[in-house]
Amino acid sequence: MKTKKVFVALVVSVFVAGIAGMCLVQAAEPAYPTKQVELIQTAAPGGGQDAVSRAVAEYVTKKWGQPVVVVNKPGGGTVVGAHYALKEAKPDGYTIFAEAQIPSSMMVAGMLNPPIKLEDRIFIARVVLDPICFAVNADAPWKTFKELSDWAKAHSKELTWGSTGPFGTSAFGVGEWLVSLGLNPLDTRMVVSSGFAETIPRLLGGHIMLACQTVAEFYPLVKAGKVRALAVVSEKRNTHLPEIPTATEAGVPGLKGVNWWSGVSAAKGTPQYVVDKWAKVTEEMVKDPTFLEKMNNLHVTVSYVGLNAFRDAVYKEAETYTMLAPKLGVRK
Amino acid sequence: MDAFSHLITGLQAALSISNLLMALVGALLGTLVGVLPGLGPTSTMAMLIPLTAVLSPSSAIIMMAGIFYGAQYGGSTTSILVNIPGEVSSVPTLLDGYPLALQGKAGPALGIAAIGSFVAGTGGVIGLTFFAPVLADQALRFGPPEYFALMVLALTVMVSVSGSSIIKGLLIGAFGYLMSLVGIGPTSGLPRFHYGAPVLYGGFETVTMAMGVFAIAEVLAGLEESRKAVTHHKIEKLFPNLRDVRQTMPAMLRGGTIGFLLGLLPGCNPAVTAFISYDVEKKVSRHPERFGKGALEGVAAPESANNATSSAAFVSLFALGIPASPALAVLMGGLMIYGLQPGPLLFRDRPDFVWTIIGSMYIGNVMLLVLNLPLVGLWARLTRAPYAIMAPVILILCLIGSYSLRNSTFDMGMTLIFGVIGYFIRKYGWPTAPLVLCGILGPILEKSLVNSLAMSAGSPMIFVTRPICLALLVAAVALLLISLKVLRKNVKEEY
Repeated sequence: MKTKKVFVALVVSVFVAGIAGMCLVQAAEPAYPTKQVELIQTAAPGGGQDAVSRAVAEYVTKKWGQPVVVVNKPGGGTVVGAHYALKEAKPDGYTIFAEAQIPSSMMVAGMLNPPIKLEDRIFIARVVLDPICFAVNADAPWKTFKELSDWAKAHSKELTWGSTGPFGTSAFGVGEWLVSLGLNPLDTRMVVSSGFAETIPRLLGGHIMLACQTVAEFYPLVKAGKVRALAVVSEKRNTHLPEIPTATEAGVPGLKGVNWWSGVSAAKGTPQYVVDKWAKVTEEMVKDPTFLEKMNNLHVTVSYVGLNAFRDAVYKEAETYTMLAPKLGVRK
Repeated sequence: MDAFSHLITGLQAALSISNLLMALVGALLGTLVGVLPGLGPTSTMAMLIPLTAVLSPSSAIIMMAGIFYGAQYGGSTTSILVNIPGEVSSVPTLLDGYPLALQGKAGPALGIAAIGSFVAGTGGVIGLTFFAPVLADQALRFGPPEYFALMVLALTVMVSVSGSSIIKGLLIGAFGYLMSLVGIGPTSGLPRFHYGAPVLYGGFETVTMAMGVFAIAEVLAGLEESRKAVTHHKIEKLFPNLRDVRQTMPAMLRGGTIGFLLGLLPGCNPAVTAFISYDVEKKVSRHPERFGKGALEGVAAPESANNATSSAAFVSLFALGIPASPALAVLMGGLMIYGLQPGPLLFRDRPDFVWTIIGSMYIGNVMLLVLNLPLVGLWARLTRAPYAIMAPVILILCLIGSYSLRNSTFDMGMTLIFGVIGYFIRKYGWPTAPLVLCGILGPILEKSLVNSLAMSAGSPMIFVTRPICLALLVAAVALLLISLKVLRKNVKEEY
């Protein structure tokens, strides 16, 4: 009995001393994280956004020695998960948001009264991006992006194209292209799907003429010759599809392009030391060979932008999309 | 015979000790998550993705595929035993499975479900082995107008699941459709009926609807019926006999064929397939009046259809790189982490890998049968448990299940609310299945209709100028007429 009491006392004193010591060292900022962190993902398991956030969670878990778990809260076109992470959960750093273009720039552009605004979060880091690519069926008559553009100018009312939502990535991408050709997007025939898994069979089956998805989504079909990729909309050629010209090279200059991207942000009111710690860890992460290899296998492009630069990029993107939105017949 | 020689090599690779072990782990995990309602293969597979860091690609994918098709085996268990549909595609199974359990025949029902799953699952893998590329190309001929016609055809199932009054069925169906309207519009991208509450942007999960109106309502009804509802008759027998198997074999084959063919279409919800196969069985039966009261064929057909669908889903994944369900999207993510790109390239560049996975699916299906048949006796004995024990267990299973769908407490609350609604629907003798059927069909119908009209710039002629679409619409009219005839005959016999 006695030895047990002594033992307990010893353990307790060691703990107290340990905690006191830690407090002394880190008196300025509390230890973070001291328990599990939830990374809220608005997409269902499977798919690019989910895969990227799982890779982030794995890296940060290893780095900090505390579990960072991906919690999928899909539904409502990202509204449900974003609202939970940014407006319902306590902004204490234990709920972090897996940021993306849909719940941020595209939502505030597409809806007149979006349930979540850009000001509701602290932008921490964009980790990867993936540009859009225009592709047609392998048997289609258009060999180049220029040919398709010229045809569209003469036959805009006949153009059928696959969209993943009236203010989603593909809608803004095709919209910008049509407007740049001097066409009215509302004249064309937009066929809406719930995502690339639904749009691609429609393109392969000849039910739509054009699909505008990301490089990663088109990658296997382009490599196998099942679809003809006409152009990637980015400044430089994409490293995963280097054989595909940029839009400018393909004879259609002036497109700024639309990017799919993935990152992290936190709710407004989250302590600064949490934000800093996440900014630091993500910046280190994009230099980690294992992480880089995973992103390479997903065919997305690592493109780190942190804190203020990230925030400015999203605001700028939102501004561009907001100007485009009325021409697409959204923002009502 | 190219496929045949590939298959032999694949089977040999799948028979290595480590691959066998992974198939077994997959089968065990799949059965487990299949049995637990709501907790589907998707989240389980997603949680196991980090394991890819230590496993070889073929081992990891064999395991994940095992979880995927293994979950279809366990899926019927709770529907038959306690009226909980773990997934919407299990709803047709419980229409006859649960009445069988109440009659003390849970054992034969579960046994037939397991055997049907095996027959159709293996049949589906055979289809995948020999016809994958051809079938994948054929499935591409289905565009929005064809999906629209298919959903119209599925809508005729309403008659079969409406009980004796088609009017009541239609009204309940309309209610289910209204519920499905809540949330983001499938083509507008804009929220509907959200009343300012962000949680309503997500709409209602059809599974919570199904768990509520079937399982929770059953528990509530049990309270009222002075604890008699879940007290079953004496267990007649624990296993199906040969006569049961022979009697249901045609239903398994028909269900399996329908399930496989519709499973090739990435845009076709597995629940739609299960409902259609149930309906077909009722139509070809000489005793359609037994359906809904405990017909073994009513369990065999949808269960077989479910399993064939899960095999067929691999066709579009392997041949085109298109994941037909969220669970397969996770599997695809798993492949990509290894730098393997699902789709046409995989067949060309890594045939050894693809055929090892296909080989393992034959083995996995045998394992699942061996694993599930002994469980049947165990599960069937559970039906003797008293209401006081079972009722809280059912409630807890439903709540955990509904939470795990989207990690949302809102869905838990909705399950309970749908339970109360289901209780009243049931108390006044109205049919419940049309609620769930229209809940799934509504959004797909809307989307395919709007998209078809977008393709044709508003002209409805698109539905009659496309041959497959027209054929499906004609078939829908024919099925409707047959259904009404069967219904009239039933009603006449009842009174």
